[in-house]
Amino acid sequence: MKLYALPKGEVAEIKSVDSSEISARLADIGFYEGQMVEVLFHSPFGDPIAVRVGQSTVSLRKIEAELIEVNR
Amino acid sequence: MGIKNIALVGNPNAGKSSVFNQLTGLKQHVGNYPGVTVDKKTGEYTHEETTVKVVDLPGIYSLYGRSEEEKVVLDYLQQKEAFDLLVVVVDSTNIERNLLLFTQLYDLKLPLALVLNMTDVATSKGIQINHELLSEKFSNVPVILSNARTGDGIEEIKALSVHYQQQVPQDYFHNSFGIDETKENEQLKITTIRYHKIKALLKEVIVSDSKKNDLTQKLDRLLVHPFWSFPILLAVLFLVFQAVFYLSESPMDWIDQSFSWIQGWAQEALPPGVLTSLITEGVIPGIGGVVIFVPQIALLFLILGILEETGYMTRVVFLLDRLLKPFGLNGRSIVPLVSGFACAIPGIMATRTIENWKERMITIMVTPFMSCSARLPVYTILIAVVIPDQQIFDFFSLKGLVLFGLYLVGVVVALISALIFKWILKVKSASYLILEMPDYKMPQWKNIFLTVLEKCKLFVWNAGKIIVAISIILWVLASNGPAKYEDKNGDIAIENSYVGILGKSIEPVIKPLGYDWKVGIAIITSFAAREVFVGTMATIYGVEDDGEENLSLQDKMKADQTEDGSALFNLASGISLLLFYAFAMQCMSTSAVVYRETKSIKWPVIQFLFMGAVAYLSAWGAYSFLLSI
Repeated sequence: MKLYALPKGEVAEIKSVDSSEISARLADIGFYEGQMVEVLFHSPFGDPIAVRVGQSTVSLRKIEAELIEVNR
Repeated sequence: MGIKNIALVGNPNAGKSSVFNQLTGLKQHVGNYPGVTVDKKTGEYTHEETTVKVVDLPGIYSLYGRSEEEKVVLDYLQQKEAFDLLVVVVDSTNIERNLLLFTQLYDLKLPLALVLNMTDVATSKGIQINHELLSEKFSNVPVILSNARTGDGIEEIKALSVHYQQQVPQDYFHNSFGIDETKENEQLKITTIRYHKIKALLKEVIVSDSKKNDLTQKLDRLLVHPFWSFPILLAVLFLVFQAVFYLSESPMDWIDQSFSWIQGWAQEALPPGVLTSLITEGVIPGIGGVVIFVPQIALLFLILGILEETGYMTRVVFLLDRLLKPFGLNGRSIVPLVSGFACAIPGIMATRTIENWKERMITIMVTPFMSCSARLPVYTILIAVVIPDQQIFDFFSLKGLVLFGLYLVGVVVALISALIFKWILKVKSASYLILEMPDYKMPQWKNIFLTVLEKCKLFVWNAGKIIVAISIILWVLASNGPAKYEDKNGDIAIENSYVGILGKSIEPVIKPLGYDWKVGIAIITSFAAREVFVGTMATIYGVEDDGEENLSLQDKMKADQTEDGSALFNLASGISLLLFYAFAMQCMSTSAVVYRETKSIKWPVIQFLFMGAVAYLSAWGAYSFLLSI
């Protein structure tokens, strides 16, 4: 499933990051295959979302969070 | 003895700036990297009689040169003689992510030292780092434990920078780091491999029962709450404005009085003549017109600095991103827009954090629509003259409502203009918001103090030189004119001066807005800074500019009549003029900063014409409408 759809509070493992002009940048900040992620909270409009990745909290827009495929 | 050069490099939020501030204190300087809009922070300190020059490189996550910041760092690293040592500052609570950049630097075989910063937070989170083992894993690179908040480890960094002997690593961590041969896909693969290796390595080095920061979680539950987040955000913004405007009131009065006093004193003390009049009527008010804004700018950046340091600012960006995106703006646009209420100049400089070119341009174009503090004296006097003393619902004064309305239309027009620019600027550039949200923490006052100082210096220098220069030019034009108008003493009334002639010559253009040549003169002199309007009006009506209320000026303006005997400043022309001042780009200093930040004359010209058109049309519309009813 896509990271954006991951229910809040559930920890999942990143399976893959879709190829796009920002995927390498996502990898830099810690979104790489095998890393653990958790959706911490959504903004009041559902976009962007705040994600725990490794030891950091990162905000992603919906469009970015949909590039990331996770295993529940 | 001698000179050493070091550079600090690391991720954003790793506490690099705190380390830099602890090392250099006041001996620092912010400049610009050539050709790009990235701040260049340099400083120095002395240790054991050696002068150490420090460059605080911009915070980056990786070395691939994808952003302006990364390119700046790459360029710097390629000049190998530029530095003797690279100090990599790492957030101890997030070593894994921070080590990515470190391993890339390591594979470039650069002279490195590793600073594990924020060790106190790491300890409190139950993270134990075997730093000796970590050092061993990277060919015995020097590792220093530090806590820039308290200053721990700073002396060790100083000692190391002086005594460092370069050791060349024996092998690569992953491979020899190729910067430009790889494509993005390849970069993604390599980064993933690096992270897996780092993860495996850290299993030996770190013992951790790491838990998420409880306080941060609790605060976030409230501060980004689906419902309560916005009321809280509005309350915070309201407090920011209250503080900026009310706390700055008395220092501003004090500065105003001091400059009047200095002016009076200079008039007495200096021999009469052209030079004295240049100093007392051109230079001193010019400098006063700059210094008067410093309290507000200092307060604004003090408060923004606190919001930034505590970590709340990233939540503000997070909350507002979705609201600002449809306008072609970005969550990060909020800082420039809020700064614009004090002064557009620091606001436009703050757009540097917006990575997307289009969003940055739109933010720059609309920030000057926010009602800056130079407009307030103009609003105050015009409202006093044309708006009747009335209470609405026995509660609000009509004058107060009009003032609030002017601030509001500024925001509304800024947003509408953003939409227009979004539509005009056809460039497609990927917009994203990959923003790290650090844990909440207590602000570090030293960092905030240094930022405030820096912003004030930038403002005084950038705005100051232009305001003073224009004040002098205007003084020359206002005190000279065709010889036939000179009186016995060789003096000239302002309406017969060159400025007066200019004001009269634009009268046909501004007549449809309800103004006459006197307003024309004031509009021209306002190019130094908008609040000059008040002083010019006072000069034209031959009254003293007697401070905030300006009662005598108010009376003169109220009494002034047009040829047909009606009041010059009536509701229609007053509202028209208020709107003109709300929208017109009358600030040369802002235009100069827009030119510097966009590196093109095109943008300030477009902005000037666009804002001028908005101002003229809305003033004309309001005047025609109010006359017809």
